[in-house]
Amino acid sequence: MADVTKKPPHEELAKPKDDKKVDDPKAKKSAESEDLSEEDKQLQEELDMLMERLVEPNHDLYQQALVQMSNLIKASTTSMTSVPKPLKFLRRHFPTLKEIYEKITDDETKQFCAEVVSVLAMTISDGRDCLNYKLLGLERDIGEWGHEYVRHLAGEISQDWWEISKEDSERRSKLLELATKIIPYNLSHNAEAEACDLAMELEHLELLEKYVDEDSHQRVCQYMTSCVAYVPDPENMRLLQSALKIFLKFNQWARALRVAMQLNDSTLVAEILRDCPEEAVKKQLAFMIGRQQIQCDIPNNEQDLTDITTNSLLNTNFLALGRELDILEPKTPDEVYKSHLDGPRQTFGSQVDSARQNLAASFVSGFVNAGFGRDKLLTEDGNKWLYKNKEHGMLSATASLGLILLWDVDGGLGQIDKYLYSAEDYIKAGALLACGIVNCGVRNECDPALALLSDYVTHNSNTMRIGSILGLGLAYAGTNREDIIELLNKVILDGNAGMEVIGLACLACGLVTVGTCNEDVTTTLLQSVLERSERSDSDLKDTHARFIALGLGLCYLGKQEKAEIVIQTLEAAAEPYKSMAVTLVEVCAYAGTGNVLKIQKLLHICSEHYEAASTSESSKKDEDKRKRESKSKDKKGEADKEKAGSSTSATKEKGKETLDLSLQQSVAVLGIALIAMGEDIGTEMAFRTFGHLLRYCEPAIRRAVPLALGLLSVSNPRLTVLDTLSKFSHDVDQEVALNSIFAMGIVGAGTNNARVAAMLRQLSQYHAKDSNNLFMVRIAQGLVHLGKGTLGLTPFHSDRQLLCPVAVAGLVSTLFSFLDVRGLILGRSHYMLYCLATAMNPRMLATFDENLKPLPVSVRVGQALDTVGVAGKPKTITGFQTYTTPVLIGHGERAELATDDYLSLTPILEGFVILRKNPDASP
Amino acid sequence: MANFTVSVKWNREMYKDIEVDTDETPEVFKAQIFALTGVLPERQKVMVKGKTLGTSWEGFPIVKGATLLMMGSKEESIPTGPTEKVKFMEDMNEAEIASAMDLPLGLQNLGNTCYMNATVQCLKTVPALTDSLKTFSGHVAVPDTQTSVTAALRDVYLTMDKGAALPPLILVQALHKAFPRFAERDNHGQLAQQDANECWTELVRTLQQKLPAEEATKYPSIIDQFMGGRFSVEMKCDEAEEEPASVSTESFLQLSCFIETDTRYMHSGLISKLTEKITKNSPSLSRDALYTKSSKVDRLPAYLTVQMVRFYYKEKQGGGGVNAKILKDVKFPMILDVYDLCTKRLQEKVCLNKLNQMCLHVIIHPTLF
Repeated sequence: MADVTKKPPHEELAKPKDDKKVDDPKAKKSAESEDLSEEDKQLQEELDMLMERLVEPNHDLYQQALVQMSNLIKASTTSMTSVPKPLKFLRRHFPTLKEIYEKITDDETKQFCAEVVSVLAMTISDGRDCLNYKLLGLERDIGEWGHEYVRHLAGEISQDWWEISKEDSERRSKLLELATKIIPYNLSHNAEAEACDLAMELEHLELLEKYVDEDSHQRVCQYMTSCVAYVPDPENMRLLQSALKIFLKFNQWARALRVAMQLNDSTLVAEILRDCPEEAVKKQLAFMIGRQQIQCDIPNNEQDLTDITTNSLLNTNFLALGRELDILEPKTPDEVYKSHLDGPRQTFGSQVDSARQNLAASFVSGFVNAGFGRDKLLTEDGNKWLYKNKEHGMLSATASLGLILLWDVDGGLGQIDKYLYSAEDYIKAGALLACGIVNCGVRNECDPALALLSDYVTHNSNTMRIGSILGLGLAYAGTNREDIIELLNKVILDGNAGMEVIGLACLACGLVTVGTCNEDVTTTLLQSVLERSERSDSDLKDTHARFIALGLGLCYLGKQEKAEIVIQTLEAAAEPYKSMAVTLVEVCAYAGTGNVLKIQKLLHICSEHYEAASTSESSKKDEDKRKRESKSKDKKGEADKEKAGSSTSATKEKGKETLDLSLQQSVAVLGIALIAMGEDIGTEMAFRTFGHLLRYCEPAIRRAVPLALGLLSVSNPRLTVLDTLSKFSHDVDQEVALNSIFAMGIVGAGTNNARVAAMLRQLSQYHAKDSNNLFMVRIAQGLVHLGKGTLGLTPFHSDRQLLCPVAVAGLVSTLFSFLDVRGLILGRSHYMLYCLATAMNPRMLATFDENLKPLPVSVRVGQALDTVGVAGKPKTITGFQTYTTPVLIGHGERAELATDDYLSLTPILEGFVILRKNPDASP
Repeated sequence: MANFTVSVKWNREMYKDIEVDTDETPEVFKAQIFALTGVLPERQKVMVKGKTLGTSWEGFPIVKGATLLMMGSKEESIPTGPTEKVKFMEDMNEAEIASAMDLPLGLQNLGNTCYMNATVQCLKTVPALTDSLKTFSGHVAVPDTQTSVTAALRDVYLTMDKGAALPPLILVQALHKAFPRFAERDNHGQLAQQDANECWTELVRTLQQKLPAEEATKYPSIIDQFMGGRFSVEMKCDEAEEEPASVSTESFLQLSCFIETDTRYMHSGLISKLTEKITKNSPSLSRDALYTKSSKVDRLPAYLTVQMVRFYYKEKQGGGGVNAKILKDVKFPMILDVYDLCTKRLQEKVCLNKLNQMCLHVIIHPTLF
């Protein structure tokens, strides 16, 4: 982003010379004249002569002299780094010229003189002479004095704008008038960035909207949308709104839709879809809406468009990609682990079924074959495999069927059906969850998920409730459907339900209403928190209670200030739940915004060291050890309490404080990542900060940092992040190790990245003896090969500009449950891993003709380049290779058409793209 | 209520124009679907707009021309659990895991006693030896150190067979008593590290003394029967061509693999030391002369022990020396072919029996790797 307030470089260059001149003008002059060439001497003499004429009292000659002088100035050519010759020679006459201006009486001449002084002032003064004299000058073409002058003037305007008081409306209107001249000039002279900067400084974006034209609008909007991350809250919305207006002005429907989705405004989205005149473009828009997974009313209920926005074609298209890449054959967990490379480890006798490793295999099989409809464990003789899992493991194993059949509502439910009749409650519950997962991200008019699951939400078996509630949450994530919310509310208000069920119901509510600020949900959730605080029973200390706060947070995801009321209401809750909940809702509200102030606040939270923790470091370690040994599934808090009870009453208070801060602090760490992940520089800074947190902070923070690192680069296996995670995957603190391993899975999710795979294989040997660590390694391995490397988890899409709220919700829910990895993931609640299903999306580009028939064309795929504010027609990708669609697109890659025969209906070649024959194509 | 047609979608198939009469019970409708799909009515879940069809049409938002989704599978049988419950590793205790996975039981390290544990574990893989030990009737608490070591070893094996992992305290005591150098302690009072091979040699020698052979007439002890080999040694004088080579036999309990700079495989290490140059008194020349001593294996034991000679006594300049360890990586195959180490006679015999392969048991001293 170019800085308008920066002074032109020659001004700095000129300064020392100025000083010298004041000291000894004559010596300077003689020195200068000695170096001058003949041509320059002549110019200097001419200018001196003109000056003399101006000093003379004869007023008639002024006009002519000034015209001559200005001609000389205009005629001079210059480079960026040196002062034009005439200005250089005239510089010492600057004070004289100012005096001359004062004494001129003729109006026109006086104004003309002001112009000349203004131009000259650009090279000299620190003050506002340039601007002031310009304002006194003639109403003449702004570009007369060249581009550098306009730039300088724009800089002074924006500086002045902020210095003068708001009441000084006269001056402001004058400045605005000047800006109205500068902006069109900039726009027509390839200086869109400067035009935008000026308009943004003056907060008059309508100037841009007014003057932008067909040629410049794309560059203007590109610049504006890329500035969004760097401006404070209300301003960024305004930027997007004016970008939207400009796009609509030039009928750029797809681009406009992107901005509307960035604004997270579903009415705008609906309007754009309604107003778009072309059928094919509408379909393209529908594809984009489907990818963002937002609820949108389709005008006239057109079946075609509804099919696209509800993603009902997703499964067919995804399988087509699989066929093209020849990866339809199911993969077994062992193929993923590559255990044949591990050497002769299991040479001893027969193998015994380990429930934990079988559970891992169930998850891995689900992750790896996600969306492909076939696997080796469950779709073939699944019943046998299910009984190789234990209790809640059965639930998760059955639910992995949902992942395998992901998005295939028509064909998939039939295969799950038989498990609904199983005698085992866990299998039935798993089948219910699987039904929910199948419907994740796709909508069907028959609403099979609701029809199947609604009966079980109030079932008297807790297991069944868990399956159905989480299933509903996943199936209807982001839909804000009232009937679902009503159903879930009943559960939340049910006094008899256990905390696990209530927590899940709250989470499901959050998923369904993600980013909608739904009032019903807000009220219910707040009520259930406050009631429990008043009763001051142990409910809120239950590890599942945290999901109530998460539900609230998700409901306000990305809504920024709108969450204030909730936060204030939460202040009434009991500690330590209060601080955690408040922080959680706050970070969710600012998710993906890159808000620096919020990050600072979170860092403050993290930097607190509570005395109990620092003085009794050793006792903490003991406690950790004890926890590890007892393998207790109790939540951390109870262990803490135990510790407090065993020590003296004096430390009891401190013990409580430790407990309070630890969860809040870990939420804060996740929050830093959640807020910063929107934007590259913020991500880099957060990455650095995490290094410090890992080194100097409390164990609770250290445990959260790997998760935060994972969140920062989802499906983006950056070397620096991997190195850090790999280091901490060998940490002595087992929870740090567990979280690091999982984070490695998240970072490499769906990439098939060989380096991550090799690291994890090495880890599987390192942790071979510890079943918990090994379990996590397996899960991570499954994630790395997610969808055999065709699915990604990243919530960003459309050139990393759009944040899919449903995907964020899924990621955050999963990572959040890892904050109590022992109590939840390694305990009974491993099904929380299925929340990732909402974030799964094929990282591919498939092209269609206008009738939605697949249309293979050649495309170039390469590393994306940042072209914001770059002059000319810059290349958008580098190091590309040419493929035929459908193709996979990795993180930071971009595709462009390699053929002239077609035009794409969207500027961003990602996901599903409709192509149209290029009428101008050369035959 | 009326008569109209709807479409039903089942799996990927679409059945159009199915007649519905809402005056009849839903069973009639389901029977129609059964006729088309073969899914039993009680297994059918008919859904539209988030509602499932129950026993009556009430509250079921069905309209003319609607598309219904039917879920159900044709399979007759409902999946049932296996009759035998799977037993999980997580539910077993250590002994159960060991028996289920056929894992050998571990021995506790009592402070640098890994050399002994490795030896004990290795000897345990010889069933003949353990069987013979079981018949040994000596007692630990006797003055004869060899008896007490043998008895202690027997007791360790007995407890290990029971699946309990007791620290082999008594065996260590007995061993220290019998061979005081194993009781050596370093400056910090810790037991010093020991060479596993020394322990092996001592133990085997003890057992050789104490355990009789199965065929007592042919062999002096069980060790000789199963672990003892015999070299056929040929001495040839290099300086007197005419002197006839003298042939003798030597018995051995282990082969040594000497590690030299160019030894990369165990096999070459074994071969290199089978031919040596030695100086000895020559009867024909009546003086010390250079002889070539070449040994060939004339009898292969059932269990061949190979020692990797990793300790090397390095002379210091000012006298004395230090035991240096050779850390060179020497590769060994899982199946060792010793055919070319054997004498002609044995080679022919082995060929007849087609038993020219031997399984290899290797003591891996943990500190070496």
